[in-house]
Amino acid sequence: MAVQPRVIPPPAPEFALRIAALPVDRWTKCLQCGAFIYYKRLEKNLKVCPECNFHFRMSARERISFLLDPGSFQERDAELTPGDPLRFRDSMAYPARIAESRRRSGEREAAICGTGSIGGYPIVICALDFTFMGGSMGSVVGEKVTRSVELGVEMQTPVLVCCASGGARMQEGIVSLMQMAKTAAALAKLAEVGVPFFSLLANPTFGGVSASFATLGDVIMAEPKAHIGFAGPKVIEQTIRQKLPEGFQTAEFLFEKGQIDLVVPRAELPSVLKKFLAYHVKPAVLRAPVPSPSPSPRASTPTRAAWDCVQLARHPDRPNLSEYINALFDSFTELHGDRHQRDDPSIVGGLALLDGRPVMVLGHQKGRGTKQNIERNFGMPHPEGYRKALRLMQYAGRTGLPLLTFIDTPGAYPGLQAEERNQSEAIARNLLVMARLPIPVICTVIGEGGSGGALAIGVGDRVLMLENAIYSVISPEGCATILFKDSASAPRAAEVSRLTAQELLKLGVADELVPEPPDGAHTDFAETAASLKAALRRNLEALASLSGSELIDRRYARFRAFGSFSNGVQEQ
Amino acid sequence: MKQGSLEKSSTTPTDTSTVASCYAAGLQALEQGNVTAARDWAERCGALPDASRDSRCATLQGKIAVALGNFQEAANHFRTAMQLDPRELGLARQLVEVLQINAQLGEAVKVLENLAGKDPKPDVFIDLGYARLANGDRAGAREALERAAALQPQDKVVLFSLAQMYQAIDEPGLAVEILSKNLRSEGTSRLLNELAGLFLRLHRHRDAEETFRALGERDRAAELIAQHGIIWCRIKQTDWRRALEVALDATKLDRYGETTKFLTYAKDRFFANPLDASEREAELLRCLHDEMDEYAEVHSSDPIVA
Repeated sequence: MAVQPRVIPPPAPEFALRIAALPVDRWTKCLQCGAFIYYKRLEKNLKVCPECNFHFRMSARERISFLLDPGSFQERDAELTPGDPLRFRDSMAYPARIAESRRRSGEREAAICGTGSIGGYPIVICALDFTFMGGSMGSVVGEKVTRSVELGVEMQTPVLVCCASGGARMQEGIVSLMQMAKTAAALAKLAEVGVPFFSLLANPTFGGVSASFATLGDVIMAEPKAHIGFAGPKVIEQTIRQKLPEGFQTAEFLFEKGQIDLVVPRAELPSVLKKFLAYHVKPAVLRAPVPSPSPSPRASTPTRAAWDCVQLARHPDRPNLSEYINALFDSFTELHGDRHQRDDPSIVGGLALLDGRPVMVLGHQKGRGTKQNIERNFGMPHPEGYRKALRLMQYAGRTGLPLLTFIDTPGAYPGLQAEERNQSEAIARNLLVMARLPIPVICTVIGEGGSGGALAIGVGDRVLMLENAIYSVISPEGCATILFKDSASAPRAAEVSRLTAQELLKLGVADELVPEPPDGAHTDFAETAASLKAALRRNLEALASLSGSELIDRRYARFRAFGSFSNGVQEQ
Repeated sequence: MKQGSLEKSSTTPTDTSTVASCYAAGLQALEQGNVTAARDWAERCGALPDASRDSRCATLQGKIAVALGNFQEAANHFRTAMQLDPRELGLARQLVEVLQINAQLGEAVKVLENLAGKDPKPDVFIDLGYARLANGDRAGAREALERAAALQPQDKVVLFSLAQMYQAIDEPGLAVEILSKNLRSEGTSRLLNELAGLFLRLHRHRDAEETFRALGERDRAAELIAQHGIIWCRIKQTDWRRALEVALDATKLDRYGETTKFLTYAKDRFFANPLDASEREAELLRCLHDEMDEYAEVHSSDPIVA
């Protein structure tokens, strides 16, 4: 359906008058801590209790007003009014209930939509209003969300939907249920044209709203302590006949379970959103990259014994991903969770700027010291880590962001739960998806490249290796145990496995070596990071001119070429 | 300030020769939302020879700071203005306003106490009461609110504030007296929900039942909460038959949620005395309070009387 961009005049005067006439207590009692707060202080604090940080509900109009740049909001489709498809009547007729909600809320419906800007970046916004029939989604809410998304498609402008809803509107029955499919279908079109969708979940977000557009965001943010879920806690308790744990279905709970990217305090939302919007500005308007040192491949560095490389690649002081992220990028915003299981801390990913150019970054994260390494599981991802990586790769692929991956893992985690959650499929799926990403993909082995767990984020157009990094199908110790029946033969296994960067360059697995200081990256991190940054910049520049299909074709050819055989008889 | 008034003068906004005219022009610009112009007028005002002796320059700067959301700066300007013109009560009110926004409640209490002595109005005492309460002075808070009520015994806002204060200082009985005697007949569903909660807290189940009934009649959307409240009150009055009847009736509105719990318990009590009665009653009360809290949250911006 073609979208007719139209600016609708402000709401009818009686609504505006009603809003102005709403008497508000001069002092408001906090619903959580019971403190009395001067109402204007509460307003100044964006309706967050200054004593206990309780986030009071905000109307859709208040939310739009504080999120968008002053004066930038242009409301659209304000005139939309719901029908009564079922001629529904409970304790009162549906039209009477609508009229009552209008009187109470001062709004025509439970959603307000339009265009505006955040920090100067244009955005299409649709905000749901819980004060209007619990923010329930009937035809009008569904239509406004859909039209907002369609407008995003037409204007190639990011879309933000602010959710606060009990779910589908019962009074419109099956018609309201269909809004779930309608909004999701519109979002599929938005994804196809590569425009990002941001979803902000406020208290509460449940039912048909949470099971449609609310949880389909490329980035999903939630306000602290917001209650979010499909079925309400009381329904669940009654069904399973068990008490639910403290904090169940809160934003923090969802974050822990990998379902949302961020929990953002209300006051920080405009700046966080501005940052996300900045990541989606087309690179053409950004500053040109700084000329980088002369290109390699470089294969002339003094050869080091393979086992020495293994020791350096595993050195406890060797720089890890987060240290590279700090050194390489102008800014980085981490995204969390696989949307299904949890946020695996052994994979870190997010949006970043490399010399002002937006990129997606992801990689294995080891810790520094025992405590951190336990937290990061020694850089050994579970399936949910790979699924988080998959989600971010797909996000980058959809929105045209180059993907930079950093490999540093002993391998995928070999554990009971990892197998239960299908570790193999998680790795395999990434190989499949990476092969067809229509964006430049540059993979860098910064430490250990442990087998399939490394390759799961290693299918790139260019594979760089730090000089002392290693990459192999099995650890030298594993190889020694299996083939030499003696783990003490690991140095010999390392040698014959040809796992060093030098060897891999010769084999064509690596395309370029990034120089390290003579005694390893950890002895002069700044120098190593500068070399890596220059290499990334140069390779990114070289790939930038290729189309998506060219990149895919070349990547296919690159990996298609691996193999060593002769007609019918495989070489030894 | 010679004129003793902060009202807009009739001087034309283009006249830059007097503090009065600059002040008036600045106010006019602020009313029109033109803060830049207001600042220009404040600067011109400040450059005049008698500016340092006239509170209006500082007042205008304070108002501009408020418009810009700089409440700390606004407080400084209003303090200066008050020093220049201590008799101008409007300045004290403006200072109190920004102090309360800044949560500088110790100073706000002092200014309000001073103001209350000079201009004993109910709203001054209401602010004084809440500011004292937030400062931990419960007795002082109660005294201030009671003085407000004594000044305007029929004022609904004053009475509601007093009731809230009584609740805050653990005097629910006094809160109930005020709300039920003075506000109940015109009270909105928000007020009735609060009143019902107070009756429950005081174990006055007969009164609570009546209030729940009124709540259901006033707001059809609260019908189910009201039914649950009535069932609970019947249970606490050991009227099992009536509790069961209301619970059955409530199933017309809801056949899955809390109603089932109320219905099951009412039925069990009608025929026997279950061993887990106390646990189940605690659970039912928790459910009812959850529903009422949720209702209070949704309606927290509603008026208290129709």
